[in-house]
Amino acid sequence: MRTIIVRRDIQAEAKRDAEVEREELILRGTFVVNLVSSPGSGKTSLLAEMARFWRNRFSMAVLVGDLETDRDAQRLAPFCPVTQLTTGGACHLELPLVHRGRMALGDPLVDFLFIENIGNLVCPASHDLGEHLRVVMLSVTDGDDKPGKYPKMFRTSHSLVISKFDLAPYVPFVVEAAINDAKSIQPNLACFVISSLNQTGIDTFCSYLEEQRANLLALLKQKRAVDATL
Amino acid sequence: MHERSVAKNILREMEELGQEYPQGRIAAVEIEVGLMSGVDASLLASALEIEQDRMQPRIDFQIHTVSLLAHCGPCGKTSQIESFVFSCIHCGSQQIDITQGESVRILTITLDDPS
Repeated sequence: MRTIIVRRDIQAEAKRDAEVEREELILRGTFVVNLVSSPGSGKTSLLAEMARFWRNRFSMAVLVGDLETDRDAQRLAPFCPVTQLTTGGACHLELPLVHRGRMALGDPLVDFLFIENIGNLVCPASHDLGEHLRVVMLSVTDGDDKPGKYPKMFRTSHSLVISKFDLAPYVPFVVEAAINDAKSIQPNLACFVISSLNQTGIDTFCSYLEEQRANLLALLKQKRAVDATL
Repeated sequence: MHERSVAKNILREMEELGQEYPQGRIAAVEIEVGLMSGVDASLLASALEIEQDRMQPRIDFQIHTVSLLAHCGPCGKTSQIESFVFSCIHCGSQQIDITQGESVRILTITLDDPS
């Protein structure tokens, strides 16, 4: 009998594929955002408002994931190119389905590609969809004590969007408490408060995404310049 | 997460490992389940048991959970993260990188002697 140390991550291939996707997309200027939350926190509403805000300035497309129906795709269709991904039962999206969805949409050359994940704060945390940024959304009706309950999701996110702020006067949600809880898990979270209904905070969040995209493109340009001199 | 599909992933990796190490049959596998991998070790054991029914002869799966370890940028020390409190236990900094506990890994394989 011979024991061999292999230390093989069972997700290694999936992670490599995600890395390839990530690089391919930014090389042509597309910044990919994976939007996650519990069901009903306001992902689709935010995307519709962002498409409206960015019209004629930045292009975006959406791949929206649900178990069944194309309701979200129908809601977004008036605002931007969108494809519905239906899993039929899987509670999270995985890269192969996302890739097929992107191709089905005609692989659009857009500034921003949003992946609206299945409403679920558990399983999506463990699946890299080739995104450049992961945004976790928490509505004021979800409760300000949720981040600590979903450590992996908040740890792996880059940004927190607190939504439905128009309802804040009616619920015991303390923004500072939610942000502190979230930042105790991931101190580098960029936090935003929005109301899609009242169209507030959308501009600030969009500016953040524009900046993130610009920074990444600048970094790529720098790297290309360095590579060219070698 | 979905222990049945994780079990299938493990078997797929084992098939590849079997090709990389053709000197003998894989008789035993040691699997490490990270505390923040999203996978439950006992459910994974059950899922592998179910897959075992299709495999002859049996493979001995040793599964154990490993804790979250993180390296601290400012002080350079390693901390064991307890209760998902993400800060260095030595200096208190939150600028830490997780070095263990986020994934499921096949640690070792044990090959039968060729008969």
